[in-house]
Amino acid sequence: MKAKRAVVYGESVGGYAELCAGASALAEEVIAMVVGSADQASAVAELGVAVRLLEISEDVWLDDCWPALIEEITALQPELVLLRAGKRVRALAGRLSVATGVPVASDVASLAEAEAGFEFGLVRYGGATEQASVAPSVIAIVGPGLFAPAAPVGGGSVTTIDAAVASGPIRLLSRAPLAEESVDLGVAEVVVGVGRGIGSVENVARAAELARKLGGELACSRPIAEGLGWLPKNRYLGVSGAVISPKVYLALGISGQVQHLVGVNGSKAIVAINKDKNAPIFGHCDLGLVADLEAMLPELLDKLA
Amino acid sequence: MKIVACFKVVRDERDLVVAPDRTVTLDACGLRVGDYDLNAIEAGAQLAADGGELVALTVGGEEVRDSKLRKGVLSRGVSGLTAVVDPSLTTADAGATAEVLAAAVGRLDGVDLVVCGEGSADRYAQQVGAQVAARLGLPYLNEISKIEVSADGLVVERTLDGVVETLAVPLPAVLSVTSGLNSPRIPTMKDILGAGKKPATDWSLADLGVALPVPAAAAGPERAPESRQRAGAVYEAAQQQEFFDALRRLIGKDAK
Repeated sequence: MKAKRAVVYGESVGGYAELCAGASALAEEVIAMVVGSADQASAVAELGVAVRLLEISEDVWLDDCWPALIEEITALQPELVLLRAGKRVRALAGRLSVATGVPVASDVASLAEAEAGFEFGLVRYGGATEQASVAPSVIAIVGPGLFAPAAPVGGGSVTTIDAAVASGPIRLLSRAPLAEESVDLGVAEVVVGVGRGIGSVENVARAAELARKLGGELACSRPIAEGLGWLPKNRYLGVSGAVISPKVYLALGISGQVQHLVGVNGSKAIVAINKDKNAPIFGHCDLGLVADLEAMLPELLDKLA
Repeated sequence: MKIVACFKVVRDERDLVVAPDRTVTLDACGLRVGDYDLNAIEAGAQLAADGGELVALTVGGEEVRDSKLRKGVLSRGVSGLTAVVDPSLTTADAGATAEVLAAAVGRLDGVDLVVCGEGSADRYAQQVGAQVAARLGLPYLNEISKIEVSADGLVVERTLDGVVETLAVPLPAVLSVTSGLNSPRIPTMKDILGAGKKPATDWSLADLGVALPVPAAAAGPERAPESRQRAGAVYEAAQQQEFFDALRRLIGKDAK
């Protein structure tokens, strides 16, 4: 049976189209919470949903808004809460869960109505296993791509939440934009991924050149971003990183750990080059070459350019 | 400063056994402490180094009594280890785990700071820190990438999507730290020998006055994901011409 009411929230306007589409399919009534400006609320209302706006100026620290937001959501008693995945949102989810007694389902792999509420799929061990659960009510953290975005149909409404936002015990001293180039690996048709087997920073630069020549993006495994620091963290694929589904994923020196594969399994074709013929990646690729990348990168640049 | 660092004992999934119907058995898998939890323990150890006290706290089933694993934790700059043990806790979800951890922190008494890792190695729901804080009514921040002690608490850096915040946090508080905050120490022989002399305490749920947590969601069997069939045409270096022809077809036909 379709749920009565769903509440959706995302930190930026961009995430609402997917959340609203998913919520509309699962509940009769969808209410979108927006914390920010009247303009942002209007943009979300274009999706044809009822928006409740907690209006704040830009200098307000978003986390100070959680008590008011949680009070509003709790009073609505929704069976379903959809939160757009984001680092700050995870802290909100935990607090909302304790306030309402409703469990959090982080990064759901699937979400559907069930006889007694909702059935949602979660991955364990970074994708090595998965498990389906059923709960009468759930707070689901939803990443991009789970739902197809709703088209703006207009006809929504905006009401303002009448609540005071007060500073909590934590004080924001300063904030700075994160000096990290923005990259959208999700839209690239060709993604070149590098793993430890790439061997050197110089070879990473060659792989970047290859990605550029193919009109694609450069990505990597987690150790390249976190252990070696050869590429920024927003370029790693897999568990807690990006999940992609390009037409071609070219894996260079990627061994093929399950934690990485979970990020690229949606690729139409996986092509792997690795000098270790026993690398697990060869069991999960469409096309593979057992070769040393030191010799093969110039060949790739030459033959694919 | 009295600090609690939370850690979870998980199965080493590399040894999991998959049956034909995709159900998995984890019984044969060894035990380990979650990687991200080591960052929490290290953060606590560094803060406790100047005369503070660090208790490593875990909840779980019989697996948390593993002596080798305990010794490993006790050799990482902690003062002692406390475990809440109940068979039901092996499969506890984030909500139940947080409920028991919060009760244990309350029982430890006078705790100034609770540190959690960014997520557990099995579920990675990234929820326990937030829920422990909410249950204890304490200030909470996640994604902490730098910690400094100040006159009236802590000053921390929080690395979010596209922004870094610098925040003043009064104590007591709960923090979830990122894996980039520190590099967990490699225990020395002296650390390992000293670990055997450090106190380890086990509590039951009854000791804490906590009822057996009721799972908020009914979970089905754990399964291996359905693997997608791929063509698997793997060439040796000597056949690289065939490889390049096939790759050009893939990229030319499908991507351009």
